[in-house]
Amino acid sequence: MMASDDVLRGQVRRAMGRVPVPTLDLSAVQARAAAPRARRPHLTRTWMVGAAAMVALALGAPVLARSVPDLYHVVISALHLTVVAREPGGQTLAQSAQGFRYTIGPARCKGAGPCGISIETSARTVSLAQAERDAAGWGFRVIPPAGLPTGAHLVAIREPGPMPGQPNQVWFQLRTASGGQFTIQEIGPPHVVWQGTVTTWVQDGTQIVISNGNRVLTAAQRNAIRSAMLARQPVPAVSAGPARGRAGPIARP
Amino acid sequence: MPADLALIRRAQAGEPGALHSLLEGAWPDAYRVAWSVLGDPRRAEDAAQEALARVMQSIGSLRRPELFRAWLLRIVTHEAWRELRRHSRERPAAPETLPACPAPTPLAAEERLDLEAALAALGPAHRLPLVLHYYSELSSAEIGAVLGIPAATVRFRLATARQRLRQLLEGPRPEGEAARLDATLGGVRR
Repeated sequence: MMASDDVLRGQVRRAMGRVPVPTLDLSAVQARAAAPRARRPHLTRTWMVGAAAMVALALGAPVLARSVPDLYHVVISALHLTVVAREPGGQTLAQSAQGFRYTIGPARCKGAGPCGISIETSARTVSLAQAERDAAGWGFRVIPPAGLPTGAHLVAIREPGPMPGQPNQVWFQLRTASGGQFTIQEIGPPHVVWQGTVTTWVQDGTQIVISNGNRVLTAAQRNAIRSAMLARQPVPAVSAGPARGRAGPIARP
Repeated sequence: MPADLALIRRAQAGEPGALHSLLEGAWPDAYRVAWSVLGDPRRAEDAAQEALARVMQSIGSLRRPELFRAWLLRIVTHEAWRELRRHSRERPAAPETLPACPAPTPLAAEERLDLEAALAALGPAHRLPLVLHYYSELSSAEIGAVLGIPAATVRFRLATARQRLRQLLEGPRPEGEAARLDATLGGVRR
C-alpha cells in the first residue's frame, strides 16, 4: 500500500526529531561572528599584485633597483594575505585596535645570514626584533624551532575579547614547512607550552581552531588537535585537505 | 517553532539577552536542517554555528522580522551547501547513515531503520526540500526562496523525493524501474 502524504509527513518529522542536537556553543558562535569574513581570494590577489605593479612603475627604475627585495616582499606578502585570509569556520586573523590586520609574513633570508621572521600588518612590515618585542608585549615569547626551515613564519597576538567582559583572546598564527616542529611558550603562569607538527593553529581562549594556511583540516583532525592541546599533550601530526573557497553573499528577504 | 516577533525586534535593537535567546531557540532547527544536507554531526554543527554567526552579524539588517525563520533557514542552507561543496572537493560523498536513536520511539525498529535508510538514500538535493516541507513546514515558494530555485522545481523535486521515498520504504524495485528512477534523479540533482 502506498504511504499517504500525511504518513510520510509524520515519518519525516519523527525521523528529524530523533536527530540528536548538540548543545549550542554560544561562545563559538560569537567568535565566528567577531572574526572578519574571508575575502574573495582571487580578486584580492589580482588587485594587490596589480597595485604592487603600479607602485613599481611609479617608483621608477633607479628606485626599483634598490628596492627589489622589499618590493618582492610586498608582492609575496600580498599573495600571502590572500592565502592566510582563508580560515576554517570563519575564524581568521587577528585585527589590531588600530584596524591593522596582523598576518604572518614570509621569512626573510638575506645572504648567508639566518632567516628572520616578520610580523606584518596591512599597513606595515616589522622586523623580527620588533616582532619579538611585540610578542613579549602581548605576553608571549616566540621560540623558533631549532633549525628553523626556510619559509617558516610565526606570530602570537593577544587582544581584548570580542565582547565586553570576555577574557582576552590569544591568537597564534604559525606556519612551518609541512610537518615542521614548533614550540610556543606563554610568558608567566601557567607557562603553557604547546608543541606539535601541525602547520598553523589559532586559539581564542575557549576554543582552538586549527588551520593549515591555505589548506583545511577536517573537523575530526581539528578536534583531535584541540583535545591534545587542552590536555597539554603533543599535537598529533595531520595532513590537510584542499584549499577552501569563499561563500557568496548572504541573501536577505 | 516560530520565533517571537517581539524577541526578534529586541534582538535587532541590540539587546544581548534577546539575541542569545533567539539563537538558542533557532539552534535545533538550524542544526537539523544543516544535518539534513550534510549528514555528518560535526560538519552540521560547523555549518549551523557559522549560520548563527551570520545571523548575529546581520540581524539588524533584516527588514521584515516576520520572515526571520525563512531568512535563518536560507542562511543555514547556504552555509550547509557551502560546506557540502567544500567537502565534495575533499573526497567523494559517501552514503550517510542517520545517527542511532537515543530514546525509545513509538515506531517499530524495522520501520525506523527503513525510514532512516530511505532518507539517507535520497541524497541532499531531494532530502532537503523534503525536510523543509515536512519538518520546517515551508511552502514550495518559501523553499524555492531558501534554495534559490523556482517553486515549480521545488514541487518537481518534492514529487520525485516522495515517489522515491515511498518506493524505498515499500521494498526492492524491479531493476528497470530502479535504473529509470536513478536516471531521473541524476538529471535533476543539484
